[in-house]
Amino acid sequence: MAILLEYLFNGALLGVIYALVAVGFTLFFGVLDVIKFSHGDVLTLGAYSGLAAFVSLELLGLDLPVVSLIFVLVVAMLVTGLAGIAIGQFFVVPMRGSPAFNILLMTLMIGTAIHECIRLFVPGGANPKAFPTLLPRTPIEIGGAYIRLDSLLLLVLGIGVIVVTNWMVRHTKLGLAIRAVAQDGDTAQIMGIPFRRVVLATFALGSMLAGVAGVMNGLYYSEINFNVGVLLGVIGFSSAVVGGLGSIWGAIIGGFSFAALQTVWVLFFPEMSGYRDVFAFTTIIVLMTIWPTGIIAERYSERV
Amino acid sequence: MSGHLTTDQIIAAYGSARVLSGVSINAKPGAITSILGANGAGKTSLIRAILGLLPTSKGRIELDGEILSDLSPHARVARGLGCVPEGRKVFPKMTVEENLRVGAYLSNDKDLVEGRLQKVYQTFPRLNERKQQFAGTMSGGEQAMVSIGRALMSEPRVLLIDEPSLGLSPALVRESFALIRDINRSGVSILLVEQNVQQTLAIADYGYVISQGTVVAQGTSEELQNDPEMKKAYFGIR
Repeated sequence: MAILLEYLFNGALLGVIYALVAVGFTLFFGVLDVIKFSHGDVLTLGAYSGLAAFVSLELLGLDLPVVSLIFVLVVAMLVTGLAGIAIGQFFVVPMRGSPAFNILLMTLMIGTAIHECIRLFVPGGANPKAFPTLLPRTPIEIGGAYIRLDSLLLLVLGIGVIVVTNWMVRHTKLGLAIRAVAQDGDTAQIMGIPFRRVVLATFALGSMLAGVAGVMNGLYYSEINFNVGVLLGVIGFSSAVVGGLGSIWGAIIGGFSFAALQTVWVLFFPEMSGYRDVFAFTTIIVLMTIWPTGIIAERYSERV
Repeated sequence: MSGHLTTDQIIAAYGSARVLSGVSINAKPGAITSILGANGAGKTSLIRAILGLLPTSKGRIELDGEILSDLSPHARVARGLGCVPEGRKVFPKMTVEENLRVGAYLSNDKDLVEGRLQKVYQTFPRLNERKQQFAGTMSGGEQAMVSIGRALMSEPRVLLIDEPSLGLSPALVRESFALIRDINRSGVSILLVEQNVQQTLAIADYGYVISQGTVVAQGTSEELQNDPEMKKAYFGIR
């Protein structure tokens, strides 16, 4: 029972990280009908800029865990947000009229360039980097199970970010504009909505979520490497597709489903835990043949 | 009186297919100006060109003396253009009220938006009853109300209306034409694109007939009734 609770908890934490990445994919697809494959590497960029922020704080001799954490998150979000805007402004928006395949390939190459630059320009970039411990690791006992306090806080942080994002999309003027552009770009423009600005704001928002996910992932595993975004990007993309690309709730459900699949595998075959991704991806391939449009099909869902 | 929209020899193409070859129209302030023509004549292209959704390669579009030709669509709307697009184009996954609020996107004054919202609900009590319903689940007639109400939320000086009768029952068509006249009487200039000749001429002050991307006839409604070009444009009689 206690073990089950621990698995459930760790699964939920992974789920929230995947959901953060998946929501980004869904937002980009919503406003522009594009799949932006550089998303995972923008996450890596976020994790490394968070690390750089921490190192510079350390050099300044500041050592306040809470302040450091906030600073690390803010820097990561700032860098990823700007990266999202730059990729949107200079690559995706100008290529808007071209086939989806070209944009997919182009963003895949941009992503590769990003993580190769990290590998080459960060000192010792090819090796994994230790990520600082910024949250207390005190174990907490819940129903006989021991859960690390930092993981609990990370889970709360992730859920909080998702709730705020969802609220923004539903209840703010920017959110109204994002949904209008997602549902009908031309009509949104003739209502006075500045199309390009809204698209870039969406790219910034989605990329900032990846920044948060990158930092969370680093804090959870205490380690990052230049390749971390590649797998997370594929997982986030699969989650978004399984949930129904274009729907925020679909992306969230998809993210948690992927983590649930991994967790179930590890729970039943602990000695073969290395195969958890193989199992999860195989199941998703099967799910996709049953529901090609995702769990929440776009035409029934409230798109973005 | 403001709300004077003119196009001067505008030329536009989709790829290499030219859809407008030098169209000049003059929609006078406070008037209902109609654009008539068969399917594929270039009527909707003209509307899209005026709004900036279809780039023009030559010619000039002006609103009250200000040149719109180089502005992006949202900037043109900010200058006073409003639109009820062809097929109504409501945002299907938004509630009625959200649709209306999108219409007032450019206004940041909360009280002003609230006032306009109440005005639209007064005009369309039906929308007030259904403000929380998703617009995509409504009937064609109700969606027409949403689309017109949404366009009025920006209080445009010139309202472009593209085929309001499309897909509506005869009774609803009569209603929407009466409504267009009411909107016009409240001081909004109207540019009305239609295929429904008789009803359009009945409310329009002046009309243009478009065929193959050029104006082939123009005049007051009485003049157009008897214009031989009119029949040609519609029935291909030569």
